[in-house]
Amino acid sequence: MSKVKTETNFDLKKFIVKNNAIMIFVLLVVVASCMSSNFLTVNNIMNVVRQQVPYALVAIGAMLVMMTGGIDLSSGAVLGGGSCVIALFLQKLQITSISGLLVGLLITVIIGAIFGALSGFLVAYCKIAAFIATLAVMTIAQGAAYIATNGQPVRLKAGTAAADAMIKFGKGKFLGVPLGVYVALVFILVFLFIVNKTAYGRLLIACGSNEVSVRLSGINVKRYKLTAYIIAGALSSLAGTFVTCRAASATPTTTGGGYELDAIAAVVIGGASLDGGKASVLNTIIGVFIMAIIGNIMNLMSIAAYPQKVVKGVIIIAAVLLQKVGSKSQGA
Amino acid sequence: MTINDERKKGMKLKKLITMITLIGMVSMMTACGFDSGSSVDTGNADNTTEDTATDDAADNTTAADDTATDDDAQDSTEATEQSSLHEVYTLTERNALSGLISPDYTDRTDIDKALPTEKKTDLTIGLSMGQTGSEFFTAMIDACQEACDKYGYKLVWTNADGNISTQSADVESMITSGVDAIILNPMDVTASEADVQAAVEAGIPVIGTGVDYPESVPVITSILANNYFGGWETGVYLGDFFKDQHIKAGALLGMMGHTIDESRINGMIAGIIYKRAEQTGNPFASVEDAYLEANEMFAQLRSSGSLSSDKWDFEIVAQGEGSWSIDGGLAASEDIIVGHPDINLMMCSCDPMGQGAITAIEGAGLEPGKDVYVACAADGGKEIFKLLEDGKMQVTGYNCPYLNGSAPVDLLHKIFEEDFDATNLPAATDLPTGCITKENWKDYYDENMEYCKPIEFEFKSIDQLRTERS
Repeated sequence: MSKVKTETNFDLKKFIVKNNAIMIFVLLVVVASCMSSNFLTVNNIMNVVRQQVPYALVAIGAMLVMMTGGIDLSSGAVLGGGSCVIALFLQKLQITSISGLLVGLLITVIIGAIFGALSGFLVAYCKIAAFIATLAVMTIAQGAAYIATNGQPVRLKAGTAAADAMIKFGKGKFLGVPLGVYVALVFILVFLFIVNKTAYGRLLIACGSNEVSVRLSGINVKRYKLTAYIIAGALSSLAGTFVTCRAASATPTTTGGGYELDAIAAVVIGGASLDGGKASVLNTIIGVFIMAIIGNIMNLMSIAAYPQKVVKGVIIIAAVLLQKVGSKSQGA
Repeated sequence: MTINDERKKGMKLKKLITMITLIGMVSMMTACGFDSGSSVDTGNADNTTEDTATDDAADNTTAADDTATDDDAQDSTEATEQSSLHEVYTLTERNALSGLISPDYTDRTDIDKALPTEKKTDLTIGLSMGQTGSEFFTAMIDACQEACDKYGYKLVWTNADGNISTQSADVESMITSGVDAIILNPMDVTASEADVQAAVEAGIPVIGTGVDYPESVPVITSILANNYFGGWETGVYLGDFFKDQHIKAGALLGMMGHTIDESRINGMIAGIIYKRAEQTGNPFASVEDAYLEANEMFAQLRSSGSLSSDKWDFEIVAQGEGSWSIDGGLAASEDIIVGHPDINLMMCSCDPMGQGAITAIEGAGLEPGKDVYVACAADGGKEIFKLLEDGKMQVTGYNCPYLNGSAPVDLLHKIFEEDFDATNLPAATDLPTGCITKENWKDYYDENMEYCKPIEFEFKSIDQLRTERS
């Protein structure tokens, strides 16, 4: 009997350790629900998930890069750039049709992918440290956005099919859920499949965990690293289009908005290793929502701005410490 | 001790640290929540500090010393009596009082400002921008360039991108390259004082723009839209508009701690309570008393995240940071509206965040201009006029970037080519302020401009300002 009991306890501990991101998330939800009666209202939940759509896309890209042992500091700037590209495409080129809008979205994603490719090339082929390479690409993307917009915000003017579609998408809901959330869900499912069920996903992880072995087994590690950055760039740029939809405008200031750091924090909270070789799509999304809930609950509780920053930092530290303890326990 | 034992010991230590951090985290959130909750919940039932003090006061006039309850304030009052200068001008904490200048102007004639001794026509002007990340700054730079083109001057401009060290390096480069004058839009007023000093020592005059320097800093003057009074004017308008109505507001700042944003919202609060005092037949003895009381209320907002005053039938139930952008204002407003769906006013420090607030209000199924009113302390961008006309936005403060950009060049032209006497200009030259509303927006609108149109104004010396005041 006592043996069985010990095994049961061990399993529970193992479960908690393995799913500590979920545990932190649940803990935060419970605390937040107790703190504010408005937290679990439909309006608030929908606001939070809608606000996190761009963060989720950027975080998935950041996760792929971190799986390979890299880091992408350019994702926030590429997001801001993508936001400007689609707005410029519609307003300056006076694209009015839905088909034109789709072409614009494609171009936006391709431009993001090009920035990602530049980062990936510098990291994988030129052997520049990811931190420096993506920092450089970040400033290039910021500068390009300012040049393209002349430092001016670009507003979507309602009245054309394309602009109206963007604005409606930003505000629209289906079954009470913001439309952007469905798109984000599709991407989450796609990347869940790619990371967990495809050889590509497993090799990306392998590139991060043991690059030498992978290379010796004849796999082109550089190419895999490059693709991770390309996907991250494309996702970031696509995320920028969601920002444009919501605000019905784009501004180059978004390029310095700090999306990349929130995304990296979310990925780490989700259990990814900065050394590569370990990450999970679901845990990354949970990390995104942990970050979101921290800000949301403090806003709902009208906590002053200065303490908000301290509390947010402490929670991030606590979450990452828990991750580390969990991973050590698993290893022991 | 085996390696495993050491590892286990390390694990225990890490677990201990984690537990302490977690307990700290929950305690902090709980403490913040209870603190914040009490300030909101008890606001209607119990008077805030200044309310209590005022109620206790025998005097029928709402005076500043009624509100001064603590030792510091009493000390300040004594100091005020000694100097005969109102206490609000002697406060040392002035981050939320940018633009509120002492009327007791100190003569600046003796300050060496490196003014030119001979006429010069082909000027090279350096413009050092602390940041450029908004349409406002772009319009300001363009206006500066246009003014230079008009006079045949060469403009060299730099962007410090929010970095004070970069800005110092920019100014040093301008000094080295020998520009004739520098227009300085500092990222940080205090940090840039050394830059001004260095330029003046090198014989290059400096005009500030966008912020106000202390009187002792050797700038010729600093030209700015007065942030505090931009907020004040919209506040006075709101006081009128909400006559006999309870105000339950949310406040949106680009960033708490930013002097411009804090001053705008602080001024807005001052305008509201000043008007409310008038309406109750118990006016403030002076505008400075209103400034002072509002400043204490703003300090409460900053420290606790909300403020409530039965005395003024006015509360700000939440504050948000909107990064001066539409999407930032939108996200912050959504949180505020979910937490407080019964607010009737959003007080925003600038237009783009006001636009975001309008989108959030509509998204929550409410009607801007009916269920929730939106008021901004600045700026008067082109797209705002339509919102004012439609009644979605109630009011915004006049803040013209064209004047910010062109006025320093105009002043340099007067100094270098027209023998204008700039020896005793005030440290801060205020650009016109105003209140753009549904009723008067056409007075400020020009379809060819991205912002409200410039209004004529003139540079006045300290002597002229003293004469006007007397």
